[in-house]
Amino acid sequence: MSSQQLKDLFEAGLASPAPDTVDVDAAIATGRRRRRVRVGGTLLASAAVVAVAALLVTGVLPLRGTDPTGPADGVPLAIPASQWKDGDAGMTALAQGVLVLRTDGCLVLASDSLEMVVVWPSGFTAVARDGGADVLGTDGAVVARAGEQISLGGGESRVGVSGPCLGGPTPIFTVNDAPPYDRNVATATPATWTPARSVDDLQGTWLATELGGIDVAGAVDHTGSPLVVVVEGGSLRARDGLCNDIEEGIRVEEGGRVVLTSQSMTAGGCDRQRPGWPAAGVAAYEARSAEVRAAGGDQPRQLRLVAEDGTMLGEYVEVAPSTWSDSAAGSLCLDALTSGPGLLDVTHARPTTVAAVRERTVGPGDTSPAAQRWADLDGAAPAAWCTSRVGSTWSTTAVAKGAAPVVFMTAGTPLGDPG
Amino acid sequence: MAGSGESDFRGWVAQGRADLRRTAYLVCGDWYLADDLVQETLARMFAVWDRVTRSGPPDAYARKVLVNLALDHRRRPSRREAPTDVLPERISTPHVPYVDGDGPAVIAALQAVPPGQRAVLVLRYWEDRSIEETARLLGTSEGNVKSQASRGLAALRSALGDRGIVTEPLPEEAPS
Repeated sequence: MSSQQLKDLFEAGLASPAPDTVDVDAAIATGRRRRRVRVGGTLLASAAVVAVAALLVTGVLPLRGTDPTGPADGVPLAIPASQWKDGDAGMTALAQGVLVLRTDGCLVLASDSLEMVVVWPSGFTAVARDGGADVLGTDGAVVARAGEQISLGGGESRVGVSGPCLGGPTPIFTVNDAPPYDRNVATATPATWTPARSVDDLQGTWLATELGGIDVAGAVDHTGSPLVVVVEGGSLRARDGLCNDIEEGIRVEEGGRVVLTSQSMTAGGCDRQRPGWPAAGVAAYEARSAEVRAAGGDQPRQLRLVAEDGTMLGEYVEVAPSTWSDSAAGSLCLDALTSGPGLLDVTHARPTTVAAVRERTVGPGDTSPAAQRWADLDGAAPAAWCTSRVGSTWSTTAVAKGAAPVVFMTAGTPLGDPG
Repeated sequence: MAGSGESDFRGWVAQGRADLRRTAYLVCGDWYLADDLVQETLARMFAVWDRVTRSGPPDAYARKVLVNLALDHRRRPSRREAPTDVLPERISTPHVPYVDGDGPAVIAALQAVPPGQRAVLVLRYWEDRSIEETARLLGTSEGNVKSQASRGLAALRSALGDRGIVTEPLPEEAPS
């Protein structure tokens, strides 16, 4: 059979296509939202790089490999293994990536888009070496080393596998391939998922990208607020995507167990939620451990919340918090435009006065109730210009206590500081 | 993104979406999943459209995104098939020559080929991409592509035989 005949065979397989359900408009909308998140993530990553570099220069952070708490060279490390041995029938998928020893002691095969716990053949062992690890074959020879780019044959089967590192949400790759492996010096080490060890690891504003296996990148709930989890100090706030805002105390115990300290919900009230909508708050509520992946490449820092049984509940990317701070103008914007943990929406707030707003937005002939309310207010009373985002629509709005917000401008692209 | 960028993107989608769907289907074996993969590919392409089109035609990059998504999808824990110790019994069927009505059996046979090898077969023999280009799209070496193609062809031949489809010898791809 020639290549052309093989192509004909494939063509036969394509003979009865299902109707095309690809929604190009939705894809464009999703792509547009991600573009914004990525820009924010890049800025955040740049800031993180500068900050880490500064810490390294001042000697506050130890360089990897010089951590005095790491095991000494030659100390055995526990690794997961299968019952497969050279000569057995095996799976033949190919996995490639950099072998990385995570801070939790798990050896993973990592790339920018994927991370898998490596399950080694029967009889393989590992020892600490230079802050990393060497993997030894059944004859005691080094067959792989942390930090190397490596190619391994095998598959994802969990049949007969045992050992540490297998209980979490990270997929596994079971090696059904005898050494020698294709090994090269890695040019860069990809970021890996690391279990949170303290609540400090979770600090930030996290935007949900996947909840319960459903892609929710860029999604907003019925109030127009993005699905976020905010961890500040010892408190956690989350928009649950249903009817409630969750506010809890949070701590991470020794061993990485996440504990919410005051289990209660504050009803926000709603009656328009779509059935089956994935709930960011539920993910936060059910989380018993968490993992964080450092920013790298064009990816911002990532968080995933994990259930008691190791199932991944939600995956998030870190986003810059609102710039409103606790200024008076910021508070005015938040009070008027949104509430709860959807603070992400307000990106800029600038103080002004009722008189200045009247001059810019409410003409003398405007007799609408909204204009009348602005007209009735004291001209010297504080007001604010707010830039906010609801979904993919950006707005500049004037707000003041006692008057309805006046939308000054809307756009499908980000608006900056209204000043 | 400027309006012209979006317009260019829509034009590119109109021209190439059918090919993307077919490639996705051959790699994953499910039209609905194929549509999901194409939809996600388009979203990712739109997010980086300006940058990708500045460096050349976007088709190859779209294939790279699509195939990687398909392979990543297979690795997600919630979407992984459950391994079993005992294979189901198969009905013994006489081997017959390949005929036009064998489409579902062909797809089933293709799905029996390991995902990485299947991706290589689809790129090499359905999309007519060279060994070098296939290696670049999959982020692997040319030697690996040859090896995967060789193994994949053998697995496909066996799987076709299991489903009662007799083939003449498939094209050979010598491993490195």
